[in-house]
Amino acid sequence: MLSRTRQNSWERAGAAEQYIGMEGAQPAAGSGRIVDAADFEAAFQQHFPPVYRFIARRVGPALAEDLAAETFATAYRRRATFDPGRASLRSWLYGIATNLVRNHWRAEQHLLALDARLVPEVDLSGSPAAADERITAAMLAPRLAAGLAQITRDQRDVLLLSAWAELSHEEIAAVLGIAPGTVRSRLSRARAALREHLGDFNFDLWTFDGPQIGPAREGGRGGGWVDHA
Amino acid sequence: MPDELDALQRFRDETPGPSTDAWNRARAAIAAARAEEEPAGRGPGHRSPGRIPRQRQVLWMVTAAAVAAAVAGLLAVLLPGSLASRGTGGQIKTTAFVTHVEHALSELGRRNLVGYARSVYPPGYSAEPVSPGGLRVFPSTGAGSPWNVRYLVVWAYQRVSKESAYSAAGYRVFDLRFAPAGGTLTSTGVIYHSRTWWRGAIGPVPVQGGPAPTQCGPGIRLGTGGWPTFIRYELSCGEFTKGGQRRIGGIEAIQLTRNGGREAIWVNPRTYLPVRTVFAAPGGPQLQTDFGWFTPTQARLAHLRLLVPPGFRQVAPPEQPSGPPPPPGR
Repeated sequence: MLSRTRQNSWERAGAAEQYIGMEGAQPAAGSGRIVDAADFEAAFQQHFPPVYRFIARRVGPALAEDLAAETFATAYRRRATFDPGRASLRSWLYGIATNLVRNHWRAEQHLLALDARLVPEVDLSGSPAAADERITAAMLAPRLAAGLAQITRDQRDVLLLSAWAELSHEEIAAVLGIAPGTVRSRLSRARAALREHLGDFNFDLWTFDGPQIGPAREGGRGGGWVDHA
Repeated sequence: MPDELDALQRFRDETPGPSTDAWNRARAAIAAARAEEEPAGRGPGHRSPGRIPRQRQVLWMVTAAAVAAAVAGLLAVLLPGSLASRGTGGQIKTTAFVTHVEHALSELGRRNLVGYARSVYPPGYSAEPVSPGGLRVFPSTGAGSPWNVRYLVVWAYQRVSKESAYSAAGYRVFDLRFAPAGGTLTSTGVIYHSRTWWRGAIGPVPVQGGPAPTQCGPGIRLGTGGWPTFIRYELSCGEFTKGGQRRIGGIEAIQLTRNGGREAIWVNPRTYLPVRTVFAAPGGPQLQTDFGWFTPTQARLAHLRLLVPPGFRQVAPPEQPSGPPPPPGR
């Protein structure tokens, strides 16, 4: 099995080199192969910032530097195995990043536990509507963190690849090596768990129905404020 | 209609993008991955697209550092008062750190491990071999300098070491290989931008080992016992302050700092061997070196080979330029 995989990789690599060598036919980063150094560099330039942010959102910026670097070093080592016919480049990279993040489950849990306990500081400058929006987001954060901390790691991977990496169900299935139906069921369960933690949050009005946020509650999103701007 | 996914998208939405350091680390990691699979002696234009390198089995345990050259080179740039920091170009005599390398190699030899180190130079610096054993590190005069170096990768095993310098784009700038030959330490250099190579003698092979450290203070002095002895000794003098703990390369490393935090060494507490070093000048650039230690395999030992690419022209080894003497201790 291993030798067959390797053999296939060699064949793919050979074809890719030939393709890349055709003048004017070089695929754009994000859609083509990344065997050639220049293609890999282009892919790195394009995808490093969003992949880094995805990791940093999950485990914090300090650890993200190492994991993002390792993501692209791993991608470089495995670049011959990347097949654009099976998955997009960005989804393949997110798959590598997700696997690396899974090894740091405790760090992610720790960060979520902190977020669940702390209400972030809110910048009240700017228009009242904007400040109101930030207050709502700040109130949401601990509940979202608590919800994320409660769901299983499989569910979380699917949920965050969907919400943060914005991958389709099919892409998530491909990078995680699971069936699309499994993606849908995990996503459904994760979203249900998250909704439960958000409790009385009114998505229509984008505010809480409960007594936590007085001014916003009175008139919906920013309704209780007078905008002097 | 907004839903919990919209809410989730706003969660930690303020997370900033990668810092310059994050970019640099990623570039260094890619350069190292490239170095791992690139057969010795192949130039920057070479493609090896199909090879799937075996996943490295990093032992992240023991060892001493054959990275002395990289670290010493960096220090020459970063330490206040060095020639480089005065803008005249820092002359680094390699004799001192070849000795370090030899000491490190003796440590490696005892443990029969292959040492690996990867240093990230500050942006805008160049490194140029100026003698069979000398490397000059200096601020680049322009972006187009053929000596612009961003990463220095060192492999070492027993008494042989090889340094490969890479540009920011990951292209190889030069290779230097140090090896004893009949009692003489020799070096071979391959310069890729000029498609030349040379071979030269540095001097007698330094005696392995050396005195254990007897004086605490700045710098890295690896004598008998290598890094563990050095670190323990410096700790005994109170030179280092213990900092935080962080998982690096699978190791729960402990941070030791000194000189106001400008020198930091992340140490494996089980072995007292470095996992990472970070040196910074006051308000200036910093140099990070990551260490790895491996069991010797054919694939890893292949990194120590240096094959001159076909068509490269042999030239005389570079000579020390006339100029101010190197800073003490270099």
